[in-house]
Amino acid sequence: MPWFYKDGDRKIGPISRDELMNLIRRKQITRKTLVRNTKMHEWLTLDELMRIKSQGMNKQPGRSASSKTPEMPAPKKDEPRETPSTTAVPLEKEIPFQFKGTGPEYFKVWIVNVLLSFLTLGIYSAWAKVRRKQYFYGNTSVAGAAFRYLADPLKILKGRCIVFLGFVGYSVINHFFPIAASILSVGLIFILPWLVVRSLAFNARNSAWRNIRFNFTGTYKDAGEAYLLYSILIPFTLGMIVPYVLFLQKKFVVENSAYGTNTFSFHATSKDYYRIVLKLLFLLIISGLILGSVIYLFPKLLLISAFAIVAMYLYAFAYFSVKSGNLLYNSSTLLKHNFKATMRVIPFLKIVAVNTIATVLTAGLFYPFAVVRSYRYKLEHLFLLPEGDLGQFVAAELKETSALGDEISDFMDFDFGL
Amino acid sequence: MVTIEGKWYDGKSSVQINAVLRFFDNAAVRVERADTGEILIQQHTFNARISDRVADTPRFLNFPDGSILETENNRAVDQLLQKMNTGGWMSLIYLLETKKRFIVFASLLVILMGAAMVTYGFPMAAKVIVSYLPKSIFDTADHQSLKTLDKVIFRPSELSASMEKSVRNHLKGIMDTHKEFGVKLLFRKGGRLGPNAFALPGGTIVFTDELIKLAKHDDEILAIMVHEIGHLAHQHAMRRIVQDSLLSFALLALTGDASGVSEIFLGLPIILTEMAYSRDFEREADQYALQYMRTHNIPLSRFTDMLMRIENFNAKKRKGKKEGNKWMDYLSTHPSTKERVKLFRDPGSENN
Repeated sequence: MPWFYKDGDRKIGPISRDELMNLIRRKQITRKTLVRNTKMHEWLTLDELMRIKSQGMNKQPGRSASSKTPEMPAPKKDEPRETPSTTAVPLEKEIPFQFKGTGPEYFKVWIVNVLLSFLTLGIYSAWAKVRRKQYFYGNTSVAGAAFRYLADPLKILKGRCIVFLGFVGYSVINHFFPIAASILSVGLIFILPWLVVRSLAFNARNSAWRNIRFNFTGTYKDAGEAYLLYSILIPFTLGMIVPYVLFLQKKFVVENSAYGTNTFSFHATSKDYYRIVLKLLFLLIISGLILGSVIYLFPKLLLISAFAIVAMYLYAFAYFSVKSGNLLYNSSTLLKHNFKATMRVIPFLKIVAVNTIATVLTAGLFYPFAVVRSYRYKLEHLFLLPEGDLGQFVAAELKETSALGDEISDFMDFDFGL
Repeated sequence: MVTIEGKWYDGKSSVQINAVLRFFDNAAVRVERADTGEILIQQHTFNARISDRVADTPRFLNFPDGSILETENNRAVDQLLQKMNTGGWMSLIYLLETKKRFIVFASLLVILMGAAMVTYGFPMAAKVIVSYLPKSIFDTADHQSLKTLDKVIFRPSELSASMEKSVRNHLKGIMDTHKEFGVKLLFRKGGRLGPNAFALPGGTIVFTDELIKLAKHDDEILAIMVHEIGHLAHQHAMRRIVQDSLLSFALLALTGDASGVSEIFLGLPIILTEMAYSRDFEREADQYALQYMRTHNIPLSRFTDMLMRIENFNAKKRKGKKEGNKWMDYLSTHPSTKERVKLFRDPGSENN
């Protein structure tokens, strides 16, 4: 379980339990230092934490069972069978996610996909999608097992056909009854919650690890709340609730995702998202002011300034991807297992910048290399922090899901972002 | 006999078991635990669905009871498939992916097809699509773009009534002969756009005050007007909208996923291509103006003089910024003035 501590106002972490113990031994963390782990709801000084611990029955930090302790939520009823050897299992500190794919290798898969999709007028694109996903899933592994993408290309093709026909139908209606079409397009907004749920469910149920599938159980009502209701309020609040909406959406996605019978839990707060967005805004305003005054003082540097604006855009993108990505993984828990993401803005920015320039210069041929580069960076900075046995997950009964929702959202360029 | 080591998962829990599959020469199969030798699966004839090979990713052998064997030993799995004689057509795809010569061939083919699509396919498709669009769309487009421009850039015209009238009078003839395009003439103060003129999709042509003031002869304004009518005659504004969306759509389809980083990757090539399209349209409109001025005996210098003056005006505003940066052409919506003037001064070279 990841721990955090405060050095003055600075929040440091996540660090593992052993690292924490080390710091305590080296007196870098004193009895007065504020600490917390991802299960606790507030910061406590080490002293307070120890006191609570000693009242509890269990001596291991982070595992206290006393009724007043803020650390562990009440165990769920459907918790899988306890492994008899919980304490005996040696705690591996952190297990890195691994990605074995390479740019040149993916290029081959990609170019064949593109060519065949083109020659078959798009029909092959369903198989192409499965192959692309299989390439990335299959090359991704953790704890000795690779991920697996199981979607049936025929289902995807069916979804794509319906989307295509719908698009043609809409165009025809638009041609003859423009007013009916505009009413229809407003109505389309309201299928958004359905889209979100279907798409996430299709993806989750066709993803597996160790022969156990993931699942997604979000309801349309909750999706409507996170993706529609609060989004409608954004203009009325001058965008001030944007971070809150982001938080709601991530929470919705994580807390409704499951591996086997176990749902993920999410313990980030809306404050965390406000912090990210406000910091980014602050950085952008400062650099915008500097840039503005440079342009004002030296109008000759207009071209350089244009590049500076592109650079700012890339920076904002990298900053947001890294910070929100780290937050998402660091705040997600599955059973007692945690994740740790340690991406950093500047290295990721370098990757994104090179990707952008190279993709432009090669008219898109660098694209497969670019995707592999940024995917690998993300994966290489992701760790699983197991707390006990990884063999205790149990498969759930899953319903078949159609690919339609996933295909519509692919088509409409939505990204629910995980 | 073929032996394949891997990890076995029963499909009910995530327990990981190191296992060995033994495929005997009589097609019988046994999967046993690597440590204890306990038999996990036993089949008289091998019966498992084997996942397609994708690069060097692990293979999954799916047994009828829902358990799987996950192995990285692709070579042994392929050997096994060969013995069973069940490759499936997806193994053909893998073969294509691993043939160097085919990859080179495919790359060239994709580049060629892509280039052909971008240079000929999309412009042609856009032309066809635009010809099917109902008139109401053009009018809405005019209305909407004018509303936006008025809000963001334009200010109401400050031309004197007499000046506006004289310009309108001079342009009346050409407007009457081009009634089929529904030409509507408007004046606006251009602000930071300076001396400029626009043709909106539905026939609205906007002149900025700055352009009118910069003109030294009424025929110079007429020349610009013909150029703008050229845009209308070729339906450039609407074709641009359709072409640009086709382009974005195609690039999206090509790159597969719409998530995250790819959007910035794609933004720049799309903008560069859109600029190239825009320059082609300008050349077409210039051609249109050239033809008209020749048949109506208007000196071609009216157009070139005006272009040069606009260029000088803009250059002065930029305060002696270096001009004629060759590569800047790629970032421009218009061909360089030099190129455009050359067309009118040396009309023989028009067809290249």
